[in-house]
Amino acid sequence: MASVRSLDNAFGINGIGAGSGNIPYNGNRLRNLIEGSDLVMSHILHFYHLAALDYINTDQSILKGVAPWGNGKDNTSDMVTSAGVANVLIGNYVAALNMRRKAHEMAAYIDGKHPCQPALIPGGVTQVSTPALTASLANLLGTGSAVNSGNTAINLRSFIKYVYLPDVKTVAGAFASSLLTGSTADGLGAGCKKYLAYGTFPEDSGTKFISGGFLNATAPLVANWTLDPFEQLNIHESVKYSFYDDSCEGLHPSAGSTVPAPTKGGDTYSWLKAPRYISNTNACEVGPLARVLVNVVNDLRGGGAMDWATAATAFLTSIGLTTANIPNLRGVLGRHAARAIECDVVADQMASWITDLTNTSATGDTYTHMDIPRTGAGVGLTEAPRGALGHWITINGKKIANYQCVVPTTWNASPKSLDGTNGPIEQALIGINVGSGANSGLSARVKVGRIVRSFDPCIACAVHIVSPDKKEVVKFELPSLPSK
Amino acid sequence: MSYKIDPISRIEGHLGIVLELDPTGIVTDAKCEGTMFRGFELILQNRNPRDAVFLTQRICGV
Repeated sequence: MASVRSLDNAFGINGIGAGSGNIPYNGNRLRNLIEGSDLVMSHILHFYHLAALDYINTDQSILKGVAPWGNGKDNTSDMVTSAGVANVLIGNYVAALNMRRKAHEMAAYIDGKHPCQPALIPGGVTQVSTPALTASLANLLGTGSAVNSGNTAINLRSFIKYVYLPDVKTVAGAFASSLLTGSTADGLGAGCKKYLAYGTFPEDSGTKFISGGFLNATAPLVANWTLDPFEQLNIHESVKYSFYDDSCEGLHPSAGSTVPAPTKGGDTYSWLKAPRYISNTNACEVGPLARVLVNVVNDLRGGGAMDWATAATAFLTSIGLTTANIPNLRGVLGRHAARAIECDVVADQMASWITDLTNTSATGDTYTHMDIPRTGAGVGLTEAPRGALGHWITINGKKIANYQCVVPTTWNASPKSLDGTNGPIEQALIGINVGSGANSGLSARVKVGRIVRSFDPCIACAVHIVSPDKKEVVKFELPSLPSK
Repeated sequence: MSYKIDPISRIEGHLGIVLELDPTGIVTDAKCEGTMFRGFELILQNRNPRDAVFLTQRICGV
Protein backbone atom coordinates (compact mmCIF):
# COMPACT_ATOMS: atom_id res chain seq x y z
CA MET A 1 0.00 0.00 0.00
CA ALA A 2 2.86 2.38 0.79
CA SER A 3 4.43 1.59 -2.55
CA VAL A 4 1.27 2.22 -4.58
CA ARG A 5 0.70 5.43 -2.66
CA SER A 6 4.23 6.60 -3.49
CA LEU A 7 3.36 5.98 -7.16
CA ASP A 8 0.00 7.76 -6.81
CA ASN A 9 1.92 10.71 -5.47
CA ALA A 10 4.60 10.64 -8.17
CA PHE A 11 2.05 10.08 -10.98
CA GLY A 12 0.00 13.11 -9.95
CA ILE A 13 -2.97 11.64 -8.07
CA ASN A 14 -4.20 14.46 -5.83
CA GLY A 15 -7.08 13.05 -3.85
CA ILE A 16 -10.17 10.90 -3.60
CA GLY A 17 -13.39 11.37 -5.56
CA ALA A 18 -14.77 11.96 -9.01
CA GLY A 19 -12.78 13.58 -11.77
CA SER A 20 -9.35 13.19 -13.24
CA GLY A 21 -6.38 13.08 -10.94
CA ASN A 22 -8.36 11.39 -8.16
CA ILE A 23 -8.77 7.83 -6.95
CA PRO A 24 -12.48 7.05 -7.37
CA TYR A 25 -14.38 6.68 -4.09
CA ASN A 26 -14.91 2.98 -4.59
CA GLY A 27 -11.28 2.39 -5.48
CA ASN A 28 -10.27 4.01 -2.23
CA ARG A 29 -12.85 2.06 -0.23
CA LEU A 30 -11.66 -1.22 -1.72
CA ARG A 31 -8.08 -0.30 -0.86
CA ASN A 32 -9.17 0.41 2.72
CA LEU A 33 -10.93 -2.94 2.89
CA ILE A 34 -7.80 -4.73 1.63
CA GLU A 35 -5.66 -2.96 4.21
CA GLY A 36 -8.28 -3.51 6.93
CA SER A 37 -8.54 -7.25 6.21
CA ASP A 38 -4.79 -7.51 6.41
CA LEU A 39 -4.72 -5.70 9.75
CA VAL A 40 -7.45 -7.93 11.21
CA MET A 41 -5.64 -11.08 10.03
CA SER A 42 -2.31 -9.91 11.39
CA HIS A 43 -3.58 -8.90 14.84
CA ILE A 44 -5.36 -12.24 15.35
CA LEU A 45 -2.21 -14.01 14.17
CA HIS A 46 -0.02 -12.10 16.57
CA PHE A 47 -2.02 -12.60 19.74
CA TYR A 48 -2.84 -16.28 19.32
CA HIS A 49 -0.03 -17.73 17.27
CA LEU A 50 2.94 -15.61 18.23
CA ALA A 51 2.30 -14.24 21.72
CA ALA A 52 -0.28 -16.32 23.63
CA LEU A 53 2.10 -19.15 24.48
CA ASP A 54 4.15 -16.68 26.53
CA TYR A 55 1.21 -16.52 28.93
CA ILE A 56 -0.10 -20.09 29.10
CA ASN A 57 1.47 -22.83 31.19
CA THR A 58 1.11 -25.54 28.57
CA ASP A 59 2.11 -28.28 31.01
CA GLN A 60 -1.13 -27.59 32.89
CA SER A 61 -3.21 -27.91 29.74
CA ILE A 62 -4.28 -30.39 27.10
CA LEU A 63 -0.94 -29.71 25.41
CA LYS A 64 1.01 -31.39 28.23
CA GLY A 65 3.58 -33.66 26.63
CA VAL A 66 2.64 -32.55 23.12
CA ALA A 67 5.78 -31.32 21.35
CA PRO A 68 6.71 -28.59 20.77
CA TRP A 69 4.18 -26.84 23.02
CA GLY A 70 4.00 -28.88 26.22
CA ASN A 71 7.63 -29.79 26.60
CA GLY A 72 8.04 -28.95 30.28
CA LYS A 73 10.31 -26.03 29.44
CA ASP A 74 9.81 -22.29 29.53
CA ASN A 75 6.81 -22.46 31.83
CA THR A 76 7.00 -20.10 34.78
CA SER A 77 4.80 -19.43 37.77
CA ASP A 78 3.34 -16.21 36.35
CA MET A 79 1.37 -17.90 33.58
CA VAL A 80 -2.24 -18.95 33.21
CA THR A 81 -2.16 -22.25 35.09
CA SER A 82 -5.88 -22.95 35.44
CA ALA A 83 -6.39 -25.90 33.13
CA GLY A 84 -9.89 -24.70 32.25
CA VAL A 85 -8.75 -21.22 31.19
CA ALA A 86 -5.63 -22.53 29.47
CA ASN A 87 -7.64 -25.05 27.48
CA VAL A 88 -10.13 -22.41 26.34
CA LEU A 89 -7.22 -20.23 25.14
CA ILE A 90 -5.66 -23.17 23.35
CA GLY A 91 -8.99 -24.03 21.71
CA ASN A 92 -9.21 -20.44 20.50
CA TYR A 93 -5.63 -20.70 19.23
CA VAL A 94 -6.94 -23.33 16.80
CA ALA A 95 -10.15 -21.43 16.01
CA ALA A 96 -8.04 -18.35 15.22
CA LEU A 97 -6.38 -20.18 12.33
CA ASN A 98 -9.74 -20.41 10.61
CA MET A 99 -10.52 -16.75 11.26
CA ARG A 100 -7.19 -15.72 9.73
CA ARG A 101 -8.17 -17.68 6.64
CA LYS A 102 -11.45 -15.78 6.48
CA ALA A 103 -9.66 -12.45 6.76
CA HIS A 104 -7.29 -13.33 3.93
CA GLU A 105 -10.21 -14.63 1.90
CA MET A 106 -11.91 -11.27 2.34
CA ALA A 107 -8.88 -9.44 1.03
CA ALA A 108 -8.47 -11.93 -1.83
CA TYR A 109 -12.03 -11.31 -3.03
CA ILE A 110 -10.81 -7.80 -3.80
CA ASP A 111 -7.15 -8.19 -4.64
CA GLY A 112 -7.11 -11.62 -6.27
CA LYS A 113 -4.49 -13.13 -3.99
CA HIS A 114 -3.36 -12.22 -0.52
CA PRO A 115 -0.71 -11.45 0.60
CA CYS A 116 1.36 -10.17 -2.34
CA GLN A 117 -1.73 -8.85 -4.05
CA PRO A 118 -1.75 -8.09 -7.79
CA ALA A 119 -4.73 -5.68 -7.73
CA LEU A 120 -3.03 -2.55 -6.41
CA ILE A 121 -2.20 -0.08 -9.17
CA PRO A 122 -1.52 3.65 -9.16
CA GLY A 123 -4.90 5.38 -9.37
CA GLY A 124 -6.92 2.69 -7.62
CA VAL A 125 -7.47 -1.06 -7.81
CA THR A 126 -8.15 -3.45 -10.68
CA GLN A 127 -11.23 -4.99 -9.01
CA VAL A 128 -14.65 -3.43 -9.52
CA SER A 129 -17.35 -3.28 -6.91
CA THR A 130 -20.30 -5.57 -7.60
CA PRO A 131 -23.25 -6.66 -5.46
CA ALA A 132 -21.77 -10.17 -5.35
CA LEU A 133 -18.46 -8.82 -4.06
CA THR A 134 -19.96 -6.67 -1.32
CA ALA A 135 -22.21 -9.56 -0.23
CA SER A 136 -19.18 -11.85 0.10
CA LEU A 137 -17.26 -9.23 2.07
CA ALA A 138 -20.19 -8.56 4.40
CA ASN A 139 -20.65 -12.27 4.98
CA LEU A 140 -17.03 -12.83 6.01
CA LEU A 141 -16.72 -9.65 8.10
CA GLY A 142 -20.12 -9.84 9.74
CA THR A 143 -22.65 -7.01 9.66
CA GLY A 144 -25.82 -6.11 11.55
CA SER A 145 -27.42 -8.86 13.61
CA ALA A 146 -24.99 -11.46 12.22
CA VAL A 147 -22.49 -10.09 14.73
CA ASN A 148 -23.35 -12.07 17.85
CA SER A 149 -21.84 -14.50 20.33
CA GLY A 150 -23.24 -17.50 18.46
CA ASN A 151 -21.37 -16.61 15.26
CA THR A 152 -17.79 -16.59 16.51
CA ALA A 153 -16.81 -19.30 14.04
CA ILE A 154 -18.82 -17.71 11.23
CA ASN A 155 -17.66 -14.11 10.85
CA LEU A 156 -14.72 -11.97 11.88
CA ARG A 157 -16.47 -9.31 13.92
CA SER A 158 -18.19 -11.92 16.09
CA PHE A 159 -14.84 -13.61 16.70
CA ILE A 160 -13.13 -10.31 17.53
CA LYS A 161 -15.85 -9.10 19.91
CA TYR A 162 -16.73 -12.36 21.63
CA VAL A 163 -13.44 -14.30 21.57
CA TYR A 164 -10.36 -12.18 20.82
CA LEU A 165 -11.12 -9.16 23.01
CA PRO A 166 -12.28 -11.33 25.97
CA ASP A 167 -9.16 -13.50 25.68
CA VAL A 168 -6.87 -10.47 25.78
CA LYS A 169 -8.79 -9.29 28.84
CA THR A 170 -8.33 -12.70 30.46
CA VAL A 171 -4.60 -12.47 29.97
CA ALA A 172 -4.55 -8.80 30.98
CA GLY A 173 -6.58 -9.53 34.10
CA ALA A 174 -4.37 -12.46 35.05
CA PHE A 175 -1.22 -10.41 34.71
CA ALA A 176 -2.36 -6.95 35.71
CA SER A 177 -0.27 -6.94 38.87
CA SER A 178 3.01 -7.94 37.30
CA LEU A 179 2.72 -6.59 33.80
CA LEU A 180 0.27 -3.73 33.72
CA THR A 181 0.02 -1.77 36.93
CA GLY A 182 3.27 -2.54 38.72
CA SER A 183 4.87 -0.10 41.11
CA THR A 184 5.39 2.68 38.62
CA ALA A 185 2.99 4.33 36.24
CA ASP A 186 4.41 2.38 33.29
CA GLY A 187 3.69 -1.15 32.29
CA LEU A 188 6.60 -3.59 32.03
CA GLY A 189 8.70 -2.92 28.96
CA ALA A 190 7.48 0.63 28.35
CA GLY A 191 10.64 1.73 26.59
CA CYS A 192 11.01 5.08 24.90
CA LYS A 193 7.42 6.31 25.46
CA LYS A 194 7.60 8.36 22.27
CA TYR A 195 5.04 7.23 19.71
CA LEU A 196 4.81 7.88 16.01
CA ALA A 197 1.92 7.19 13.65
CA TYR A 198 1.65 8.22 9.99
CA GLY A 199 -2.08 7.44 9.94
CA THR A 200 -4.07 5.62 7.29
CA PHE A 201 -7.52 4.66 5.97
CA PRO A 202 -8.30 7.88 4.09
CA GLU A 203 -12.08 8.19 3.86
CA ASP A 204 -14.22 10.00 1.28
CA SER A 205 -13.31 13.44 2.62
CA GLY A 206 -9.59 12.60 2.59
CA THR A 207 -9.48 12.57 6.40
CA LYS A 208 -7.74 9.50 7.76
CA PHE A 209 -9.76 7.18 10.01
CA ILE A 210 -6.54 6.51 11.94
CA SER A 211 -4.86 9.87 12.49
CA GLY A 212 -1.12 10.34 12.40
CA GLY A 213 0.88 12.18 15.02
CA PHE A 214 4.02 12.35 17.13
CA LEU A 215 3.15 11.73 20.77
CA ASN A 216 5.74 12.42 23.43
CA ALA A 217 4.32 10.45 26.36
CA THR A 218 7.37 10.50 28.60
CA ALA A 219 5.52 12.50 31.31
CA PRO A 220 3.59 10.49 33.93
CA LEU A 221 0.23 12.14 33.25
CA VAL A 222 -1.70 12.25 29.98
CA ALA A 223 -2.36 15.97 30.51
CA ASN A 224 1.37 16.61 30.15
CA TRP A 225 1.90 14.55 26.99
CA THR A 226 2.53 16.50 23.80
CA LEU A 227 0.88 15.54 20.53
CA ASP A 228 2.11 17.15 17.31
CA PRO A 229 0.97 16.58 13.73
CA PHE A 230 3.13 14.09 11.83
CA GLU A 231 5.46 15.58 9.19
CA GLN A 232 7.38 13.12 7.04
CA LEU A 233 10.17 15.63 6.36
CA ASN A 234 11.21 15.19 10.02
CA ILE A 235 12.38 11.60 9.44
CA HIS A 236 16.03 10.72 9.03
CA GLU A 237 18.03 7.53 9.31
CA SER A 238 21.22 7.06 11.28
CA VAL A 239 23.71 4.30 10.37
CA LYS A 240 26.61 4.61 12.81
CA TYR A 241 25.80 1.21 14.38
CA SER A 242 24.44 -0.34 11.16
CA PHE A 243 26.20 -2.25 8.39
CA TYR A 244 25.84 0.61 5.92
CA ASP A 245 28.39 3.07 4.66
CA ASP A 246 28.74 6.23 6.74
CA SER A 247 27.79 8.25 3.64
CA CYS A 248 24.19 7.13 4.38
CA GLU A 249 24.23 8.92 7.77
CA GLY A 250 21.42 11.26 8.73
CA LEU A 251 19.65 11.38 5.37
CA HIS A 252 15.95 11.91 4.78
CA PRO A 253 14.59 8.82 2.97
CA SER A 254 13.79 10.79 -0.21
CA ALA A 255 17.52 11.45 -0.52
CA GLY A 256 18.38 8.22 1.21
CA SER A 257 21.02 5.78 0.21
CA THR A 258 21.51 2.11 1.04
CA VAL A 259 25.15 1.15 0.59
CA PRO A 260 25.90 -2.10 2.45
CA ALA A 261 29.15 -2.24 4.38
CA PRO A 262 29.27 -5.78 5.79
CA THR A 263 32.83 -5.39 7.02
CA LYS A 264 32.34 -1.97 8.59
CA GLY A 265 33.56 -3.10 12.02
CA GLY A 266 33.73 -0.85 15.05
CA ASP A 267 30.56 -0.97 17.16
CA THR A 268 28.38 -1.97 14.23
CA TYR A 269 25.85 -4.64 15.14
CA SER A 270 22.72 -4.52 12.98
CA TRP A 271 21.53 -4.61 9.38
CA LEU A 272 18.70 -2.31 10.35
CA LYS A 273 19.19 1.42 10.05
CA ALA A 274 18.09 3.64 12.93
CA PRO A 275 15.23 5.91 11.88
CA ARG A 276 14.68 8.89 14.12
CA TYR A 277 12.16 11.75 14.21
CA ILE A 278 13.33 15.41 14.36
CA SER A 279 16.46 14.53 16.36
CA ASN A 280 18.58 11.46 17.07
CA THR A 281 17.24 11.38 20.63
CA ASN A 282 13.75 10.58 19.34
CA ALA A 283 13.68 6.83 18.89
CA CYS A 284 9.96 6.24 18.32
CA GLU A 285 7.73 3.25 18.90
CA VAL A 286 5.37 2.56 16.00
CA GLY A 287 2.49 0.09 15.77
CA PRO A 288 -0.93 -0.48 17.32
CA LEU A 289 -0.01 1.04 20.70
CA ALA A 290 1.38 4.15 19.00
CA ARG A 291 -1.72 4.47 16.81
CA VAL A 292 -4.16 3.92 19.66
CA LEU A 293 -2.42 6.32 22.05
CA VAL A 294 -2.08 9.01 19.34
CA ASN A 295 -5.76 8.65 18.47
CA VAL A 296 -6.97 8.42 22.08
CA VAL A 297 -5.12 11.61 23.00
CA ASN A 298 -6.39 13.23 19.79
CA ASP A 299 -9.96 12.26 20.76
CA LEU A 300 -9.58 13.45 24.35
CA ARG A 301 -8.37 16.83 23.06
CA GLY A 302 -11.34 17.24 20.75
CA GLY A 303 -9.63 16.24 17.50
CA GLY A 304 -11.48 13.01 16.76
CA ALA A 305 -14.86 11.30 16.80
CA MET A 306 -14.16 9.54 20.14
CA ASP A 307 -14.13 5.99 18.65
CA TRP A 308 -10.68 5.44 20.08
CA ALA A 309 -11.09 7.04 23.51
CA THR A 310 -14.38 5.18 24.00
CA ALA A 311 -12.86 1.82 23.02
CA ALA A 312 -9.78 2.29 25.22
CA THR A 313 -11.88 3.36 28.19
CA ALA A 314 -14.20 0.37 27.75
CA PHE A 315 -11.22 -1.97 27.71
CA LEU A 316 -9.69 -0.49 30.88
CA THR A 317 -13.04 -0.51 32.68
CA SER A 318 -13.60 -4.16 31.84
CA ILE A 319 -10.39 -5.18 33.61
CA GLY A 320 -11.13 -3.07 36.67
CA LEU A 321 -9.13 0.02 35.72
CA THR A 322 -10.18 3.52 34.61
CA THR A 323 -9.28 6.19 32.08
CA ALA A 324 -6.69 7.35 34.62
CA ASN A 325 -4.78 4.17 33.79
CA ILE A 326 -4.14 5.13 30.15
CA PRO A 327 -0.45 5.72 31.05
CA ASN A 328 -0.26 2.09 32.23
CA LEU A 329 -0.88 1.03 28.66
CA ARG A 330 2.68 2.10 27.83
CA GLY A 331 4.13 -1.41 27.94
CA VAL A 332 3.75 -5.07 27.11
CA LEU A 333 0.09 -5.58 27.92
CA GLY A 334 -0.82 -2.21 26.49
CA ARG A 335 0.56 -3.39 23.15
CA HIS A 336 -1.67 -6.47 23.21
CA ALA A 337 -4.63 -4.40 24.39
CA ALA A 338 -4.06 -1.78 21.70
CA ARG A 339 -3.89 -4.47 19.03
CA ALA A 340 -7.24 -5.95 20.12
CA ILE A 341 -8.89 -2.53 20.52
CA GLU A 342 -7.68 -1.46 17.08
CA CYS A 343 -8.78 -4.73 15.49
CA ASP A 344 -12.30 -4.20 16.84
CA VAL A 345 -12.58 -0.51 15.96
CA VAL A 346 -11.21 -1.00 12.43
CA ALA A 347 -13.42 -4.05 11.77
CA ASP A 348 -16.47 -2.00 12.79
CA GLN A 349 -15.46 0.77 10.41
CA MET A 350 -14.90 -1.75 7.61
CA ALA A 351 -18.59 -2.63 7.85
CA SER A 352 -19.46 0.99 7.09
CA TRP A 353 -17.07 1.03 4.10
CA ILE A 354 -18.89 -2.01 2.71
CA THR A 355 -22.17 -0.17 3.22
CA ASP A 356 -20.74 2.86 1.40
CA LEU A 357 -19.84 0.60 -1.54
CA THR A 358 -23.38 -0.74 -1.77
CA ASN A 359 -24.88 2.73 -1.48
CA THR A 360 -23.16 3.95 -4.62
CA SER A 361 -23.41 2.73 -8.15
CA ALA A 362 -22.24 -0.85 -7.96
CA THR A 363 -20.38 -0.51 -11.21
CA GLY A 364 -18.71 2.76 -10.25
CA ASP A 365 -15.13 3.27 -11.28
CA THR A 366 -12.37 2.00 -9.05
CA TYR A 367 -9.41 3.18 -11.13
CA THR A 368 -8.13 6.34 -12.78
CA HIS A 369 -5.45 5.85 -15.40
CA MET A 370 -2.28 7.89 -14.95
CA ASP A 371 0.80 7.83 -17.18
CA ILE A 372 4.27 7.28 -15.78
CA PRO A 373 5.88 10.72 -15.56
CA ARG A 374 9.24 11.27 -17.25
CA THR A 375 10.58 12.67 -13.99
CA GLY A 376 8.97 12.88 -10.61
CA ALA A 377 9.08 12.02 -6.96
CA GLY A 378 6.56 10.59 -4.56
CA VAL A 379 6.05 9.58 -0.97
CA GLY A 380 3.70 6.82 0.12
CA LEU A 381 2.74 6.60 3.77
CA THR A 382 0.55 4.08 5.49
CA GLU A 383 0.19 1.96 8.59
CA ALA A 384 1.10 -1.69 8.21
CA PRO A 385 -0.33 -3.89 11.00
CA ARG A 386 3.04 -3.60 12.74
CA GLY A 387 3.33 0.16 12.40
CA ALA A 388 4.15 3.19 10.34
CA LEU A 389 5.41 2.38 6.86
CA GLY A 390 6.84 4.78 4.29
CA HIS A 391 8.18 4.43 0.75
CA TRP A 392 9.96 7.21 -1.12
CA ILE A 393 10.48 7.09 -4.89
CA THR A 394 12.34 9.23 -7.40
CA ILE A 395 11.63 8.68 -11.11
CA ASN A 396 14.00 9.71 -13.90
CA GLY A 397 13.52 8.81 -17.58
CA LYS A 398 10.35 6.89 -16.63
CA LYS A 399 12.49 4.57 -14.50
CA ILE A 400 13.18 4.31 -10.80
CA ALA A 401 16.21 6.43 -9.97
CA ASN A 402 15.99 5.99 -6.21
CA TYR A 403 13.73 4.06 -3.89
CA GLN A 404 13.85 3.90 -0.11
CA CYS A 405 11.61 2.05 2.34
CA VAL A 406 11.42 2.67 6.06
CA VAL A 407 9.47 -0.26 7.48
CA PRO A 408 7.81 -0.49 10.92
CA THR A 409 10.26 -2.87 12.53
CA THR A 410 13.13 -0.65 11.44
CA TRP A 411 11.68 1.89 13.87
CA ASN A 412 10.98 -0.55 16.70
CA ALA A 413 14.02 -2.81 16.43
CA SER A 414 16.44 -0.09 15.41
CA PRO A 415 19.97 -0.09 16.79
CA LYS A 416 21.54 2.96 18.40
CA SER A 417 21.61 6.20 16.46
CA LEU A 418 24.65 8.44 15.97
CA ASP A 419 24.29 9.95 19.47
CA GLY A 420 24.05 6.53 21.15
CA THR A 421 20.27 6.65 21.76
CA ASN A 422 19.01 3.07 21.92
CA GLY A 423 16.13 1.88 19.76
CA PRO A 424 12.63 1.34 21.24
CA ILE A 425 12.95 -2.43 21.87
CA GLU A 426 16.40 -1.92 23.37
CA GLN A 427 15.04 0.79 25.67
CA ALA A 428 12.16 -1.51 26.68
CA LEU A 429 14.68 -4.14 27.80
CA ILE A 430 17.16 -1.92 29.62
CA GLY A 431 16.41 -1.84 33.35
CA ILE A 432 14.34 -5.03 33.60
CA ASN A 433 15.40 -7.67 36.10
CA VAL A 434 15.88 -11.12 34.62
CA GLY A 435 17.21 -12.53 37.88
CA SER A 436 20.51 -14.16 38.59
CA GLY A 437 21.62 -17.69 39.22
CA ALA A 438 20.10 -20.90 37.94
CA ASN A 439 16.76 -19.46 36.86
CA SER A 440 18.07 -16.44 35.01
CA GLY A 441 18.12 -18.24 31.68
CA LEU A 442 14.45 -19.21 31.87
CA SER A 443 13.43 -15.87 33.31
CA ALA A 444 15.30 -14.03 30.59
CA ARG A 445 13.79 -16.15 27.84
CA VAL A 446 10.25 -15.63 29.10
CA LYS A 447 10.51 -11.99 30.12
CA VAL A 448 12.60 -10.86 27.17
CA GLY A 449 10.40 -12.92 24.85
CA ARG A 450 7.28 -11.23 26.16
CA ILE A 451 8.73 -7.75 25.75
CA VAL A 452 10.23 -8.29 22.29
CA ARG A 453 7.19 -10.14 20.95
CA SER A 454 4.79 -7.48 22.23
CA PHE A 455 6.24 -5.22 19.50
CA ASP A 456 5.33 -7.86 16.89
CA PRO A 457 8.66 -7.52 15.10
CA CYS A 458 8.83 -8.53 11.46
CA ILE A 459 12.16 -8.69 9.76
CA ALA A 460 11.35 -11.25 7.15
CA CYS A 461 12.93 -9.32 4.36
CA ALA A 462 14.55 -10.96 1.41
CA VAL A 463 18.24 -11.38 1.09
CA HIS A 464 19.90 -13.48 3.77
CA ILE A 465 23.54 -12.81 4.46
CA VAL A 466 23.96 -15.33 7.25
CA SER A 467 24.50 -18.88 6.15
CA PRO A 468 22.47 -21.24 8.33
CA ASP A 469 25.27 -23.67 9.10
CA LYS A 470 28.36 -21.52 9.48
CA LYS A 471 26.83 -18.49 11.16
CA GLU A 472 29.06 -16.20 9.19
CA VAL A 473 28.58 -13.50 6.69
CA VAL A 474 28.70 -14.87 3.18
CA LYS A 475 30.49 -12.93 0.52
CA PHE A 476 28.44 -11.03 -1.95
CA GLU A 477 29.20 -8.47 -4.58
CA LEU A 478 26.97 -5.67 -5.60
CA PRO A 479 26.34 -5.50 -9.31
CA SER A 480 27.60 -2.32 -10.85
CA LEU A 481 24.52 -0.28 -11.52
CA PRO A 482 23.89 0.99 -15.04
CA SER A 483 24.34 4.72 -15.37
CA LYS A 484 21.13 6.66 -15.00
CA MET B 1 27.78 -10.80 32.13
CA SER B 2 26.19 -10.96 28.77
CA TYR B 3 23.23 -13.02 27.63
CA LYS B 4 22.28 -13.69 24.06
CA ILE B 5 18.96 -14.90 22.63
CA ASP B 6 19.30 -15.58 18.93
CA PRO B 7 17.05 -16.20 17.19
CA ILE B 8 13.99 -14.89 19.01
CA SER B 9 11.31 -17.42 18.07
CA ARG B 10 7.67 -16.77 17.23
CA ILE B 11 8.35 -13.56 15.36
CA GLU B 12 8.41 -12.94 11.64
CA GLY B 13 12.02 -13.13 10.52
CA HIS B 14 15.36 -13.26 12.25
CA LEU B 15 16.26 -11.13 15.23
CA GLY B 16 18.89 -11.56 17.90
CA ILE B 17 18.99 -9.88 21.30
CA VAL B 18 22.18 -9.39 23.31
CA LEU B 19 21.76 -8.25 26.91
CA GLU B 20 24.38 -6.96 29.30
CA LEU B 21 23.48 -7.83 32.89
CA ASP B 22 24.79 -6.57 36.22
CA PRO B 23 25.45 -9.20 38.96
CA THR B 24 21.85 -8.97 40.26
CA GLY B 25 20.32 -9.64 36.87
CA ILE B 26 19.34 -6.09 35.93
CA VAL B 27 19.70 -5.41 32.20
CA THR B 28 22.17 -2.57 31.76
CA ASP B 29 22.39 -2.56 27.97
CA ALA B 30 20.54 -4.23 25.14
CA LYS B 31 21.42 -4.70 21.50
CA CYS B 32 18.80 -5.56 18.97
CA GLU B 33 20.56 -7.23 16.05
CA GLY B 34 18.90 -7.36 12.67
CA THR B 35 20.83 -10.16 11.02
CA MET B 36 19.51 -9.85 7.48
CA PHE B 37 20.21 -7.49 4.63
CA ARG B 38 17.20 -6.26 2.69
CA GLY B 39 18.42 -4.68 -0.49
CA PHE B 40 15.07 -3.98 -2.15
CA GLU B 41 16.27 -0.45 -2.72
CA LEU B 42 19.04 -1.77 -4.95
CA ILE B 43 16.84 -4.29 -6.77
CA LEU B 44 14.42 -1.54 -7.77
CA GLN B 45 16.86 0.85 -9.37
CA ASN B 46 16.33 1.44 -13.10
CA ARG B 47 13.14 -0.59 -13.18
CA ASN B 48 9.67 0.44 -14.36
CA PRO B 49 8.06 2.38 -11.48
CA ARG B 50 4.97 0.16 -11.65
CA ASP B 51 7.16 -2.82 -10.70
CA ALA B 52 7.77 -1.30 -7.28
CA VAL B 53 4.30 -2.21 -6.03
CA PHE B 54 4.73 -5.88 -6.85
CA LEU B 55 8.36 -6.27 -5.80
CA THR B 56 8.11 -4.47 -2.47
CA GLN B 57 5.11 -6.60 -1.46
CA ARG B 58 7.62 -9.41 -1.10
CA ILE B 59 9.31 -7.56 1.74
CA CYS B 60 6.70 -8.95 4.09
CA GLY B 61 3.95 -11.46 3.52
CA VAL B 62 2.10 -10.99 6.77
